[in-house]
Amino acid sequence: MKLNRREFLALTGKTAAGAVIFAACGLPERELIVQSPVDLPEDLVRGEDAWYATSMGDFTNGDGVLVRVMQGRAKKIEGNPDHPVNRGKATARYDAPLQLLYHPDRLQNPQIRYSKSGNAVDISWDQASTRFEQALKNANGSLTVVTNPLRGHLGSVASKFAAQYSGKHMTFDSTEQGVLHGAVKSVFGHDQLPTFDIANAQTVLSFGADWLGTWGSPAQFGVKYGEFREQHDRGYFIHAEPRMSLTAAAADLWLAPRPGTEGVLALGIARFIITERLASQPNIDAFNAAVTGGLNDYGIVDVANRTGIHFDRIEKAARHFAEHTPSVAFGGGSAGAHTNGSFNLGAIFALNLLVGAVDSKGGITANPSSALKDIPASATGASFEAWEAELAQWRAGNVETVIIRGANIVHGMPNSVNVREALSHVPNVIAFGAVLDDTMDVADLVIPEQTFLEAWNTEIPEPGPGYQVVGTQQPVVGPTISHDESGLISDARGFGDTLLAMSDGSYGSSMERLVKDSLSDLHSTGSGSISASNATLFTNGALQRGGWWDTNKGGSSKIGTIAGSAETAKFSATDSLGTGDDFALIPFQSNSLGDGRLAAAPWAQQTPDPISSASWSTWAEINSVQAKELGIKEGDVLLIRSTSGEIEVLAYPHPGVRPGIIGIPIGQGHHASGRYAEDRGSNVLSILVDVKDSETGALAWAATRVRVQRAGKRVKVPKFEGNVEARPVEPGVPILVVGVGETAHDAQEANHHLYQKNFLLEGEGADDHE
Amino acid sequence: MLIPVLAIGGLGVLAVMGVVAAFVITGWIGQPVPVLGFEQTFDQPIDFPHTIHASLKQLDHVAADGETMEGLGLDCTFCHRTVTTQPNAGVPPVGFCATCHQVIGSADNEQINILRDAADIIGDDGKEAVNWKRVHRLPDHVRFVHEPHIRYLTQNPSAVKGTTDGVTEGPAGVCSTCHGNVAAMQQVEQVESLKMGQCVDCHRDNGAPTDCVACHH
Repeated sequence: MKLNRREFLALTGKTAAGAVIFAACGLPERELIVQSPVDLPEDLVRGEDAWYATSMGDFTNGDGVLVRVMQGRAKKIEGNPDHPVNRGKATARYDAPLQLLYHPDRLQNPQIRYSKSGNAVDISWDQASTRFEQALKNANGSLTVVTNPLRGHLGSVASKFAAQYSGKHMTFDSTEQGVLHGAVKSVFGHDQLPTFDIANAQTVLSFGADWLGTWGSPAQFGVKYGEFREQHDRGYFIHAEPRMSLTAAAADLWLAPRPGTEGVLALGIARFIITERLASQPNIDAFNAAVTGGLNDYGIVDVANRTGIHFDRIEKAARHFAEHTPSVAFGGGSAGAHTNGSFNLGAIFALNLLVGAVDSKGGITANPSSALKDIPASATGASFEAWEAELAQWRAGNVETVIIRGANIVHGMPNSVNVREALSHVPNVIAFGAVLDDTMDVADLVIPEQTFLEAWNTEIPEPGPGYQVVGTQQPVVGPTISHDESGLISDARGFGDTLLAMSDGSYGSSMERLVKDSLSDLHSTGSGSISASNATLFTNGALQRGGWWDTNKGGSSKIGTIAGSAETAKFSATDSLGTGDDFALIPFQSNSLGDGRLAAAPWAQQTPDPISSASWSTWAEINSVQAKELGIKEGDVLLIRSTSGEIEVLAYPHPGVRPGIIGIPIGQGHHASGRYAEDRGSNVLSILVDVKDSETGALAWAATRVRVQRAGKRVKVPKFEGNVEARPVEPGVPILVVGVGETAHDAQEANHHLYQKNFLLEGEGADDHE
Repeated sequence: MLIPVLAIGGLGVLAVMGVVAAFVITGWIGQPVPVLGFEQTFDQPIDFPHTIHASLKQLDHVAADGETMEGLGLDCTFCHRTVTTQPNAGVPPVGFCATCHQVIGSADNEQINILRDAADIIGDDGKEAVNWKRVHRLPDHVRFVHEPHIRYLTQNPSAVKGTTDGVTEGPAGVCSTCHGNVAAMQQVEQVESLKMGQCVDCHRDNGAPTDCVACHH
């Protein structure tokens, strides 16, 4: 067959096309692979998951969680629907502890540092135990056990262990809540934080506390907030805070007072209510009995001048609070973190007396004492004043051994008290933890600690739901074999079990035994959520449900007076800080990192802040108008200088901040905290100035004034916001406008297109919307 | 278009096109003709004989000692452990195979030694997985779950099709409905079309749901 050139080319092309078509009919080889893995545990073969109920004490205020475990590995943490506090709901922090459990930098073995400036080297548990025993040998009367505020059995064991050696149990909380506990005690006579019946309130008035994001028990409050908004008229929510937190963003009326004037604002509201006779006489009498200083100085115009809030808005808040009852008022967070913090919170809580909200539906509900003997149901950090005294003892060489767990005191205290230097005077610093932190980094003996997913404990939530609750914490996973099967990921032990092993045995042999014995004691009371014929069945029932609770065991209040006569907040000086502009610094807890204890977990790092949508960094919220005046643009590196030191942060101009305020998230700036957190961002706690609440001696962590200067550099703020252009339906027209007394559903039902049309043509409809 | 084609090759080209069309139509309706890589089987990384493991009959193989071999008669679920509980039948892990083959099988059997190497019984390159080639594969938009099919057929033996040289009792007795007589296969191949028509026919015959979302979900 003879082919000419044209036929040859045509046939070649067709052959090639045919080959391509036939090849395309086949499957990619990877689609066909079915793998025989090397080894397979039996439960992988079955592919079934198991859910264990436990409590998360270290990263929440005692929420009940369910952990999904597959092939012996914890995979997911969800809210426990049975648990009375969070009722199946979760917060942004729930999942991150899984990454501490399986962290690539998790401490594998105990480590020892032979000299204060030396490197830590791995040692065996036997060697660590010997070193621990030596440290305790000479520590009688000179031992300090430092922990985060602990309730439940772990708190009890830590206190008893310290007592056994005639030592101290010091608790540390970087954003101190001692002022809050003090105010609750003085106004309501409660030993535990009360619960706020937000769900049944018509008006909620809160000050300073970001209770939907980070303060108190956000999962509990979030559930209640949902119920509050499900009411026919959606309720009315007023929030006073200098910066727009997640909570402020959810409010119907946001008031941004000058920092430290929250108490003045509360008394201004009270005076207006009393002057306008919006409260009953018995309630007014009860209020006047509690607020002994009187209200002469709190005329609404004067209060408006002092707080920087227009008197119309103060009046509106006061009228809503008094006329739409039940109402509840509470405060915390930055409102209590001033030199007049006790006064502020006392005045805020006293507002409840004006509307008869104490121990009533839709108001403040007392929480009862612990259901377990000798087991604390409430805990807060020791005051900064007490800490300064303790650090002086360390420096003086009067403390032989310090045991630290769950309290990153090097990171959490201001530079001015120099904890690192104080620790250098303590011969034996023993630190527990899962992943190295700044404090463990200077310890003489580092002990790998089990996470809450591996250890036994009980957790009494605070604030509780208004009745007795004992949450159980049980190991949901066993030790994890390392990837190369050479050993365990971490040969960790529980903090409680380690202390008990070193104790004289008089207060327990193991945490498991302590927990189970306490559950047996609860069984013998014959009351509560679990009925069982014997203690073993009762214990199993409690562990399966995540705890025990008795809805019939409530608390009661005993009204007192507000503590704190210091009405005016004082701030640190800035005179000597060089060039720049002065701002009041409001540090705030990160939604996901907390005070930094979850910084090592990348899931927590990458969770966007709910307001700025920023992550993985430290930024500074600054009023956008003021930023423009000062020539500050987003991403400008700012030097934030106080008398305690200087940090660098990225500017984030934002309309939701009061001018003169700079809001900086807590949680970054670790020198040691695993590969994901080390040397990331800045530690705002380090530049706080050691000014204190005049009543409790707590650190006034919102009373630092700083001088802000541009560093002359700019870095892109890592954030989601603005990456995708927003596209309104019609320019300038809101998608949905919800009026007062109207639910979102109502507004939607009313045909929002028509609503928008009216809005455009008549300019009506927005009058009631803040 | 047709005229120039005919002009180049005439009837020969027409015949080729006819063969191609027949090939495509055959593949569309049932299974393509097993040529040009369209065979319904694959060479596997290890020549695993289902005959020796699953059959209960006398085999053609001759053992290392010269004895004729009889099939071991393992139940299918001995290795495919999840077939009665999970969507996938599952293939056994290397360690599972090595449980027996650590000692069973001649030390110079090349095929068994591939497995021993993977299980790190011999060699010094550590443990490694074995990547088998999937013979029975459904499209991505089909969700086939073994468990209910095995359960139904086990409870309704009259619906089972085909026969097996292996175990006929329990779940192992029903595999032949879709997979043919695997116990007689030296190298596993697909014998049924496993096309939608076959699925729908069987569902209709047995009163199983025939709505789309039964499989496409």
